Amino acid sequence: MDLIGMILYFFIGFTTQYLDTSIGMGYGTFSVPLLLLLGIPPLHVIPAVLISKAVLGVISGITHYAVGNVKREVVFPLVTSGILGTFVGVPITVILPIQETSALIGVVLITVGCIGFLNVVRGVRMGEYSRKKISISGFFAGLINGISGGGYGAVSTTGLLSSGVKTRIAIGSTVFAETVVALTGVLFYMFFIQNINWELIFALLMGGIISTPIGVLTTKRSPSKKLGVAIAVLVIFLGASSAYVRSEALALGFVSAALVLIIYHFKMLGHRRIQIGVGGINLGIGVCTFLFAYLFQTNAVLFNLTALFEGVIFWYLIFIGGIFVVAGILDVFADY
Amino acid sequence: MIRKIFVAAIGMMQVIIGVSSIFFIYIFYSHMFNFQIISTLPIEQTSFYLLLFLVVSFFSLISGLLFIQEWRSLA
Repeated sequence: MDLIGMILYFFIGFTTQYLDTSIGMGYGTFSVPLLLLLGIPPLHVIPAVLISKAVLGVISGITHYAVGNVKREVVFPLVTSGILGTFVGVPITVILPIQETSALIGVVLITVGCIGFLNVVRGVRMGEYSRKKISISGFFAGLINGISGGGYGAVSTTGLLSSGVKTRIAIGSTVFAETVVALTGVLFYMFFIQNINWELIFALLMGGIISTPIGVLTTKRSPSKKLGVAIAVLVIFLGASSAYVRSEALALGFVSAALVLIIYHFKMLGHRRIQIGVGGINLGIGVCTFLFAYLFQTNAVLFNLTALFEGVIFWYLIFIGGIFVVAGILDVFADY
Repeated sequence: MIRKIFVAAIGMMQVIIGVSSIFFIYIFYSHMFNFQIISTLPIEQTSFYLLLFLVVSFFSLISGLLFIQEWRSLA
């Protein structure tokens, strides 16, 4: 391995580990594609990243613990549910093709990022967290990790933020819990893979070890809200890049993000206004369905169906229209 | 009391309509059971009607769930 190559790997280790330690995600997600782009075969890259991630995880986990960024009551449910999620996720990898997996993870990350962003911006009561929500976050993080081998930090950190855990505790606890998962992966590779590129691991480790304390201090001193927003934006970006393999997945991811925004705005409006809005749309759909049934009956809309099908569809449309109109009336004339 | 019964019935029907419609769209879109042969519509028009149907189905589901939530709060 030449010197320029070693320097490049050192900087990849440095920057991606800084990102991972300071905001709880990004080491595997960014270093794997960068190393593959440099022409290193995947059989060398994956074990190298896993091994270096485990070693760096132990170092950054201990450092986060030492400066008070880790809480036992957050880590315990996160690790146990994470292991359960990983066990569920691994068999899914066998069933799903790799492109579909990447697209699925993209959609999940975009949605999770949006939820995290809105929770941070809206101001979740930080410090008042629930164990149930932490366990759910851990399970999904483990599931995504089991399916794709990455994305643990993104889902876990954002999930913890949405559960009300303080940003620095969310990052520190995620880094700590992720180390356990990475160590399991390393043990697996140690048994089954012989092609371990120790020079690459050494270069990545050197860069990572230097950036770890800088990243931990960044977390310790950063304002909680700004850091939370940065994390959520990065998760959306990661999701978009992962979903990019399938254009439909990218579109679906942004549609789900838009839905999250719409629901958020609806929540701001208040229940009565939402009900009036939903009632209006119900009435509109009902009237349009009646009109469509009439056009269908008079053959103004041609479907070229048999007489039996035409009869069934006409009465089905009348039934649906009736349901929507009654629903609209109930919504608009609610007792308040 | 009458409102409570109506809210429950309409809510459940809207949820059933929404779920069954989404299921039907999936079957139609993925060419299961050769449903596409029944209709002689051109493919562009089929996509348009499916999209329209999908939007209405999702709305039906959301509206139905809101009714069920209201019914539970009334109970």
